[in-house]
Amino acid sequence: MVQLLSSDNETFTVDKQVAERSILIKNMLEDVGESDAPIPLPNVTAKILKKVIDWCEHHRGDPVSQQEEINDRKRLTEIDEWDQKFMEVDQETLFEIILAANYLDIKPLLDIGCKTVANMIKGKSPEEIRRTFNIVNDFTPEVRQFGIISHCYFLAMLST
Amino acid sequence: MNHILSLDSSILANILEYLSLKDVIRFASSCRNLRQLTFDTAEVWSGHLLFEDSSEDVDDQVIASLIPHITRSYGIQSLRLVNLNKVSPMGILQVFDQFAHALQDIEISASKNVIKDLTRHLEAFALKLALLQVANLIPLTFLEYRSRSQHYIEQLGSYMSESPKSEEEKMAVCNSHAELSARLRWLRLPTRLDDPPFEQLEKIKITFTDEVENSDRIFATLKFRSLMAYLAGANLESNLDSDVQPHRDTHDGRWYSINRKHKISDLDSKLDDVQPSVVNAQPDYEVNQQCSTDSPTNVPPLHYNPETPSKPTPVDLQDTPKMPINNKRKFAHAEPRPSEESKKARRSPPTSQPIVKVYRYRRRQSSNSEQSEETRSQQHVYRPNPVSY
Repeated sequence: MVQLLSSDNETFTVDKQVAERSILIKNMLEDVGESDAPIPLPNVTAKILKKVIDWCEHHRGDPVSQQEEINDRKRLTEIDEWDQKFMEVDQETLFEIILAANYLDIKPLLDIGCKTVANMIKGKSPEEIRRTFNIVNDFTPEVRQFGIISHCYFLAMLST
Repeated sequence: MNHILSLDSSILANILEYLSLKDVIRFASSCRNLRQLTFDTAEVWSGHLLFEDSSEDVDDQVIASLIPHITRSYGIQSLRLVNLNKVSPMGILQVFDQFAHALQDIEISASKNVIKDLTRHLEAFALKLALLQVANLIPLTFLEYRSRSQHYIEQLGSYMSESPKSEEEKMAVCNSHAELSARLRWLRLPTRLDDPPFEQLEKIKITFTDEVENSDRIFATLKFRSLMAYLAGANLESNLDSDVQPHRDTHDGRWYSINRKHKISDLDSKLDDVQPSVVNAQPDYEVNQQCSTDSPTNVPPLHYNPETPSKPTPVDLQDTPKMPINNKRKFAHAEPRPSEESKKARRSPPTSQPIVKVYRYRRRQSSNSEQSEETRSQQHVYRPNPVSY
C-alpha cells in the first residue's frame, strides 16, 4: 500500500499497483524504495486526487503499453462508456483533472481528458467556442467586421 | 475564470491533435491568447494538420492567409501535400517559404501539370541560387522568388537555350543527377549549394494523381528528385566516378581569389592566362604545365606569385590538382587552388564576421526598399517576426 498526500493535507491509501499508473509516483517509489511516509502531491487537491484514484482503480488492469500507444494513437475521439461518464463533470474539474494527469504523468487519462475537450470544440463556430469556454472576444472591431464579411472562415483571423 | 486559457502549450497541442484543420482554425479565431498559443506551438502543426489528404478546403487563398501565421520553428519537420487539387505550384512555394529550412520529409501528390510547373519553378530558383552563390551574394528566398517568378523563369529560359545538347548529355538523361550536374558544370555553376534552402531534407516522395505515361513519370520524378537533392545541399558530383578534379574546388579557387581584396590585380592576370601569348611569355609556366601530367604533386599553382601574401605552403603544393584535360574548362582550372588554411580563413574570417552580418542586414533593407509598396506590406503580413540572422 502507498499513501498519497494531497495539497490540502488529506491522505489517501491506495494499492501500489493503482498508484503506479502514475509514472511520476512510480519513479518516485523506485527512487525512494520501501517507505511508509506519504508521498506529497502539492499540485493536486483532495477532490481531484480522489477522482484520479477512482480512474486508476477502474483501469488498474489495463496493459501499460507506452511506446505502441503513442505510435498507434489515431485521431479517434471515441471514448469508452465508463470514461465518458467519468468525464461528465463541470469544466473546472475537467481541466483540473487534465492538469493533474499531466502532472502525475498518467498518459491514458490525459488523452481521455484532451479527447473530451476536443469533442467540445469539434464542429463549433468561434462564437460557440467562446460561449462554451466562457472566453471573451478580444479581437478589435475591424477584425471582427472583417471576419463577418469574409465568406471563408479561414480568413477570419487574417490581418491581425 | 477561463480554465482553457490556463493550459500550457503541450496540453493544448494534445487537444488539437484530435481536431481537423478547420476546427483548429475556428478554435484559434475565438480569442487572441488562444490564437497566439495555437500558431506559436510547433507541436500543433507538426502532426496531421499540414495538410489533410484530399482536402477540398485548402486552396492558395487559404495557404496565403494561414501559413504565414504559423511559427517557423524547427519543430515542423514533415509536410504532406497529397491530392490538394486547389493548390497551385505558387501555393506550394509559399508553404516552402515558411517551412523549407526545417522540413525533413516531404510528400507531394499532384497532377502532372502541377508537378511540371513546380519543377520549372524550382529549376529557376535553383539556377538563381547558383548564380548568386557564384557572385558571392545572399541567397534568394522563396518569398523573393515568388514576387518575381516570371523574371526568373525567363532567366532560366535564356540559360537553358544556351545549354549544349551534346551526345554526352543525351546519354546522361537516364541519370538525372549526372544531367543536372553536367548542365551546371557547363554553365560554370557550383554543383553544390553552400546555403541550401532545404537544409534538413532527408526524404521526398512524389506521386502523380493522373494517368501519366511510364517513361514520362520516371523522367519527371527523377528530374524533380535531382533538383530537390541539389536544393537540399547535396553535391551532385559526389556520385560520379570522375577522375577529374571536383568542380567545386575549381570554383573555390576562383571565389577565393576574387574575394581577397589585395589580390584584385590578379583578376587581370587571370584573364591574361587564357591567352596563349602570356603563356609564352612565362617559360617556367610552360615547363610546369608539361610535367604536370606526370608529377602533378610538384607543380606550383599556375598563378603562383611569390609576392602575394598567401604564399602556398608545402601542403598546398601536394594538394595541387591534376591539370585540366578539357579545354573548355581551362579558365576555371587556371586558378591556384587555395590551401586548406586559407579556405578556412575565407569561410570564417574572424575579424570580418560582424561586417558580413551588417552587410546582410543592410542588403535586406535595401532590397525591401526596391520593392513596391504593395509587396512591402505583403511582406509585413507574411513575416510578422522576421528571422534574425
